[in-house]
Amino acid sequence: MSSVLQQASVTAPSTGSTREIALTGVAKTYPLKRGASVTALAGIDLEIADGEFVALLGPSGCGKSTVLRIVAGLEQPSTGTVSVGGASPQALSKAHRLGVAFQEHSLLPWLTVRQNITLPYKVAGRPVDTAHVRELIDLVGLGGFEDARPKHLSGGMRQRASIARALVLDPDVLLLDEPFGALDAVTRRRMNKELARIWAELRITTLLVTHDVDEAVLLADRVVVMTGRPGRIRHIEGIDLPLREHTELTRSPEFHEIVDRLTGMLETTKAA
Amino acid sequence: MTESITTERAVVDQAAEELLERPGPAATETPAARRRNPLQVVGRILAAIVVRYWPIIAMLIAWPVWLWANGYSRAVAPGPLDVATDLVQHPDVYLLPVLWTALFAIGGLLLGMLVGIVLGVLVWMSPLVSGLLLPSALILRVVPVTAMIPILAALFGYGSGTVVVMVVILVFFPAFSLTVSGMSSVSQSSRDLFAVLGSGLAARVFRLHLPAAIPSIMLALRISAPVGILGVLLAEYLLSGVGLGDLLRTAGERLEYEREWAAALVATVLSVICFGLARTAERRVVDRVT
Repeated sequence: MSSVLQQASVTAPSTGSTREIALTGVAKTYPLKRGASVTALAGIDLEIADGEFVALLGPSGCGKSTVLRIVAGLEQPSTGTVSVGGASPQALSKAHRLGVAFQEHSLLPWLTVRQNITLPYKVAGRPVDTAHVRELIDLVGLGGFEDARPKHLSGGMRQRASIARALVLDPDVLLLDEPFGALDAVTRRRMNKELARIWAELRITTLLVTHDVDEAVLLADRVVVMTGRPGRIRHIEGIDLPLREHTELTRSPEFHEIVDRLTGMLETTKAA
Repeated sequence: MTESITTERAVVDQAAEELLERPGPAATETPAARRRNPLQVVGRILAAIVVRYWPIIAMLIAWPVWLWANGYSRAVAPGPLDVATDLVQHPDVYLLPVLWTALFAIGGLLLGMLVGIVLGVLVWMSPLVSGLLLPSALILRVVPVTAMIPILAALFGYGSGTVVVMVVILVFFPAFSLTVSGMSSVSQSSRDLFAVLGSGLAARVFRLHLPAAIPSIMLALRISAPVGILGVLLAEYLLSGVGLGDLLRTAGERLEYEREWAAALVATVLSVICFGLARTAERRVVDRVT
């Protein structure tokens, strides 16, 4: 299974080595009534290297989702520049090279799992690579549920389908906005481990937005801690833990040291 | 504004249905208890019929009582038995008109739904089209359809064409407004998804917004089904030489009251069947797309 996937990602159309994300001096303000405005983000500088997994960690309302929406081209920064793979985010999505999974799975209820995962091909007007779709369905562990519709699936299964859909066009960049936010703690932990396994096979440049410290430390190469009102980067933690996909990792003292430290940082952020 | 009227009507409709569908006290018993005694089973079924259809039963009883109390003869108003006798003895008189009326109603209903959906999609896609179409759509909605008949007859002739046009005019508006509101009801995360996937307008309409509007469109079909029959009867009564509406009028003119009343009864049954079919279709389809 893994060999086919590697092959698929090698043969996928890509722009070569320019798959990094760069945000320079990004700020976002929203106008309010009577000329007042609220600053959601201020002075965000962040570079994500090709094939790097970065987690944006912060309390709710700190603007971390806004960063992701700007990288996805869903919102424009008020000041500053964003480039994804050397182009604008809009150019990337027009070229169908962006994969996204949101907290709301946003699977279309009238389509089966397979049809939902195939949707990006249809929207892009490309022929469907059925073998690749089957591969992905197996990769996210939905084998046997291809013809089920979303309402008959559990929350975890819906998110798996949503992630498979994000991956199906072999995107240059993967954006995950709290993809497991609506799941219970146990399912969430299991999905984290599965995502770590999937990501280890694909190594796509990934930006994950989360408020779960364990999740960020478990999955990311670097964790970016944000503070709120206005959203700024407070700290960037490089994670260099061995055996990322290994079950024992979450029990190791190194893991807990980092989680405790970052959690402390979030708590002081909230108090501030 | 007009949208909210349609929606209000739909809500009332829905509430009435839920009342109808609510299981009565008899339905709460276990299947085992129900199978105990054949006599009990028959009794239960009869009770269920009485509970559900008591107005019809009451009417069937009140009808001859009313005739007898007022001393009306058959020349003034027929009894239930006279009506039933004419229906059974001359089924051929009713068969062709029923087929015509059903054909007009189904044809007009489908055409009206299609016109409404297409207009809805165009209005949803373009503010310009919306500005051009909405005022005339509202005028068509507001002018009483009977008042339009002379103009329609002059335009389309005193025949089948005008009957269908009238049904289309009656039916297109719910389909139109519910298509627009259904297409606008798509969640933000689905819109975001299509934006990120780099979707063009055509893919957004046909793969996201129109499928998302299907439950609303089916609701429009259910609302419109009885209205369609009403429109056909009215148009047939006033202009065409065929169908149940025409039978109603000619029977009345010839003072054949049994036939007139029987035609009214048949039309009612046809309308109920039409509504029932539309409701079943709505349930099946909505279950499939949500």
